[in-house]
Amino acid sequence: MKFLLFREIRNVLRLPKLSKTLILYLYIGLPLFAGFLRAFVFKDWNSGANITVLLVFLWIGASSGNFKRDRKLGLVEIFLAIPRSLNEIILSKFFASLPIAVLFVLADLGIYQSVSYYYRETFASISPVIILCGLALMFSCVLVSLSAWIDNITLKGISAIMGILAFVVTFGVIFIEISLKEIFILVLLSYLLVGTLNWITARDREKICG
Amino acid sequence: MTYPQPLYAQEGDLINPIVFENVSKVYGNSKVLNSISFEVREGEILALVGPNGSGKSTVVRLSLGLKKTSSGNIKIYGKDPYHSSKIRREIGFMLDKSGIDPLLTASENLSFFYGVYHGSKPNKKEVLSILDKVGLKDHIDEQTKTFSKGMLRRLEIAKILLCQPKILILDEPFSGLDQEGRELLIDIIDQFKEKGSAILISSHEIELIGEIFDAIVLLHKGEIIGYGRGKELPKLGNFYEIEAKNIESRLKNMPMVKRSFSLDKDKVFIELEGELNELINKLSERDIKIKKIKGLKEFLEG
Repeated sequence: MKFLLFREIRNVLRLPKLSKTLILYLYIGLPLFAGFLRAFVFKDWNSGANITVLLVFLWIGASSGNFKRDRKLGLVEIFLAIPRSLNEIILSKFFASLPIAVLFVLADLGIYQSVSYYYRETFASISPVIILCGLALMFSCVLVSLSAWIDNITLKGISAIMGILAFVVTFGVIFIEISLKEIFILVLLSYLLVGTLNWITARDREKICG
Repeated sequence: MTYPQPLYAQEGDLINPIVFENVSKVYGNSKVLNSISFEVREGEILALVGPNGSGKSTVVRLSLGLKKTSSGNIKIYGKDPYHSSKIRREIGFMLDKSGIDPLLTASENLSFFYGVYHGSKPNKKEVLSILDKVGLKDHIDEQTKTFSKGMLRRLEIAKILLCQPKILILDEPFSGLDQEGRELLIDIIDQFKEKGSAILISSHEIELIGEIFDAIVLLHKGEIIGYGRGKELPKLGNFYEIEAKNIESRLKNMPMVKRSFSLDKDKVFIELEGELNELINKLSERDIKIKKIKGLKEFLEG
């Protein structure tokens, strides 16, 4: 799996400039804006730390782009013909995205903690459960993105709707009184469900398009 | 009419590298392959030839485990490539489209493929020497997105040379290659053959395959219409498509027709043992008016 992982990391680092800018905007710009906006509206700076978790909701976009790019480049058949299993391919995509996600989360986290300390003289709390949930959500994002490789319109449709819904709900929490925790769990469970469906479908290699 | 018999041999416990046993493939209502059987033996080059849409690419994709059979069995050294990722370690392949990652450099692509096949990094000197052999030494650290189609093909050849698989499955391998590249590929195919590799080459351009093959399977609309190996290897110049009214039934008892295969009511594909003129004379003696005769090259071009 090491070689699949290296290839994924190199590919992410070598995206064309436009994509890099877009990803930077998505990972740093939007969550920061969302976090600050929420903080201003509700005067609740502690939510700044939790909003960092929302970064992973946006992961679906980048992850899906990764799978789509392989398909566009005609590399899907190559991946399936090499002596590696589908699980290895999926895991390599997940692990390759992990260091980048951690990097951006840490970058945002620093800002949020500073803001929280400035206003409340205390750091925002981030429990290990939140981190684990974040990782689970990121992994399920990879599984949901697998739909880009699957020749099944229904699954593609469901996966796309899930992505859009999560995005809308994520930014909806800025304006509506709803528990971030509840939203997070709801999105995580639904992503896991759709992702598992994709994974089961893709295990029949023939369902994966060339 | 004689119907093509399965080519696979019953040779006791011998496990041949590639074996197709009564393989059919159906997509929806369309039967792409209809119960085809053949084998590729060690140290043998099998040419899989047929016009576009004859099912060649399906055979290649089935052999690589990208598709599963609707019925029948495919065995790569006795194992099903669809379900066994380990057996795919033995297969080197070139598909009709490029299998090179454009975001990686030439050497990174080679390292990636060597890694997934062997689980370790390749020897740098070996990579350099292989890239030199295929004429890409000066492009070792260039991202392959800048490569021409011919250069990408050469890199695929380098990939095969580096990974040294036991089986080669090549789909239209000569497309995109210049004359020098074709000669290089033929040379490499010969080297693999000498080492005992089984090689399956799919092509619709018979002149590019030339005379390098030891066995041939001619496909048309998913059926084997011509075949042979070793002493039975047919001469490519002996295949013809003949169009005449009710030709199929009227070709009976013609000894110079070794095999015939009905393409439709008025068209047959035949393998001749004698001269074409002799057949034409015989047909005119039987008052059969020939509408069209196509040689193999024309037939493959559709």
